[in-house]
Amino acid sequence: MNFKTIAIAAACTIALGTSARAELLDDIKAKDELVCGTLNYLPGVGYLNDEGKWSGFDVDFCRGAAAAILGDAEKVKFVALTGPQKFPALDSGEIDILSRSVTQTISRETTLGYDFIGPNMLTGQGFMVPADSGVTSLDDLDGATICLLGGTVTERYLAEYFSAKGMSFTPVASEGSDQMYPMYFDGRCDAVTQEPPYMAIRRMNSGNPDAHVILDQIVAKSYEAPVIREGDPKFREVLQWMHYGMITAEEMGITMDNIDEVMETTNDPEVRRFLGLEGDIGASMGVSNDWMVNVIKAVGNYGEFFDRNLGKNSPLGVERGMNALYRDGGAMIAPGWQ
Amino acid sequence: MAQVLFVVTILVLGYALVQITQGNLDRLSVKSGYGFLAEKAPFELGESLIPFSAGDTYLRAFVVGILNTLKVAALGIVLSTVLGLLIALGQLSPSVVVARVCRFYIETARNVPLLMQLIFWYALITASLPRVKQALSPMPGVYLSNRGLNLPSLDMGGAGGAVALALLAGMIAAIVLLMLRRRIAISPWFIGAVSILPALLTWAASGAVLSAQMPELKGFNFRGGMAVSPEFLALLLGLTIYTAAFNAEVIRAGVLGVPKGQREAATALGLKPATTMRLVIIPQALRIIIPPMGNNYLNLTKESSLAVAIGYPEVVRVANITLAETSQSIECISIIMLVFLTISLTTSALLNWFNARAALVSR
Repeated sequence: MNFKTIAIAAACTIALGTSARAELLDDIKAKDELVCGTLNYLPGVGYLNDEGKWSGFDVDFCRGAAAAILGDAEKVKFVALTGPQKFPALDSGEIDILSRSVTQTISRETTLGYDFIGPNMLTGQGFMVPADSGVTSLDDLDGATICLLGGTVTERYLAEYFSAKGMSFTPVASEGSDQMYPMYFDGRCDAVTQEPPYMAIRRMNSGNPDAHVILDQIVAKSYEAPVIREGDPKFREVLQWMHYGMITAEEMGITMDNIDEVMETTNDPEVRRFLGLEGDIGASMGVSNDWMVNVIKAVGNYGEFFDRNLGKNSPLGVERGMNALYRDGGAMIAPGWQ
Repeated sequence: MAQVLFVVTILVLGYALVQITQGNLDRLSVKSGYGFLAEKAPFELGESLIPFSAGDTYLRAFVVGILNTLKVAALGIVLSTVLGLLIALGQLSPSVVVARVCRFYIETARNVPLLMQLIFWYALITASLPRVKQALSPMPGVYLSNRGLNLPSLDMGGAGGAVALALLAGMIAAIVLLMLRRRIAISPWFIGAVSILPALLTWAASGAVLSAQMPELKGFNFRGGMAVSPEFLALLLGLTIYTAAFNAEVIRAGVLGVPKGQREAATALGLKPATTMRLVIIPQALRIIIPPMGNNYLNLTKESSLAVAIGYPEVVRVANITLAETSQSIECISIIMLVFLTISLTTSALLNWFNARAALVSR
């Protein structure tokens, strides 16, 4: 075996190795399309309407990501996934990003090998009661019958909260939310428990949204976040900073409507860096310098993004709560754009 | 030789399966073993024959689940047998209308999947009955709403459990005496006394407190008295109606299986139809009926696990929550299997014993 053969073999090995380890970000740019796993049946979160149009919070996150990476929010292929399908679809590479209300936990992040972006929705286990029941806080629910999803962590949180307060309740466990909500609306239970955005969706679809109130209190926190496979640091950076960028835009007062005006008038160096008018942050990340401009034109700042899909500008009317900016009493905050 | 080889192969495969599972569990750092049964169970179960609340052990939760399974199975067996007998006799009745109605019932009940029936009854109860504040009250102290049935209960000053146990003991003693009656003459009065005296004595010894406790609407729900949940009602109704259709066919086949000459001979002797049925037909029909009825009882008990779909806290539901909390799926499923195996084998042993007796007596 001469030196030349060895050199060729080595070069081939390196080439193969690097192509197998190519960054997902480059692959997405090469195929000019982002594949996004989401859901298609929850209006406000992920929904495919009769005309084939996708909408919702989780859907818009992918649109924003496509705008950031490819400069066009429409270059997304959506794949509707059921609960059991979601992780296998991500593992197999069928989808690039899973934006489907996944709860971030330590075991999912560390032992299962996923990276979580955000979190882009902070929520918890909330309660919905009939408006005429006179219940205004959880303490009024002593002795109540409560509908819950059987075999979920809901059961533990509820039992622990009630026993810590010395209160009692009777659980009525359902196999799925399609069985649980009719029972609550029929009066089988005095209250129903799930994450508030999902309760708001069911309330809107119940035909009489004003007859039910969602209590402000929650008994357990839950981080909902889009997920990607571990091992694509550049892709992760772009998505994570897109999430921060949406929050930063809200802090800076930049919206979908005023962004062109801000770009022409602003002298603030941080705003100029943010919008790609100065420096080369975007280019160094592997996207265009004005990537955040594309994101905000496509989906708006974080506040617009939330309110349009779930919040006050949507039929769901979910309160910002923990998802308000830090300066407004919420928990959404982003690192600086230096 | 081939048989030995077969057994050895099975054993080796079994050993390999255990080793591979153990290896994989260790790799996933999943704990194994039944130690979790002593840990605290962080959930509520809703209804229970023994006191249970979050913070009791998983073992106790399983006991609650097993008792709930046994409760619905025992009641279902009794009710489905009675209903099945009525339907079978209805089918055999000379009235065409009654026979057709019974036939229709059987064809409907046994051809609709049980799961659908359970969901149907449950939806009917929760959607069509009034809310708890507008509960129907057909008589004082009895309330029917979509939270279930609330009845007055007898308060025996805390001795209720002991009295119930004494009553059970009395009943068992009476059954033993009834069996001995074929050999020794025992007065029916004496047997009657044996069945209720222990309960009466226990009650008297506890201070003879007796008062009716009425259910009362307090806050969200009725408090006091006895409550039957919609989940239990729907499950009992579904299991009874479904199994009764099969039981009716078994009983009908048994009655028709007795040679025609037996009935004719009894009539010739001057026995009335009812007496003929009781003394001539049923004892002989029992021989045919008992083995397939045993199958139906076993099926009823096993099918009670479908209750997980409507949230009745029987053993499978307990196992499901435990599994979600502890991730010890193999252990939880093995408990379900062991419980149903034990119940089934016991039922089947009892029925075999009864069958042996019925067969012997009639010869």
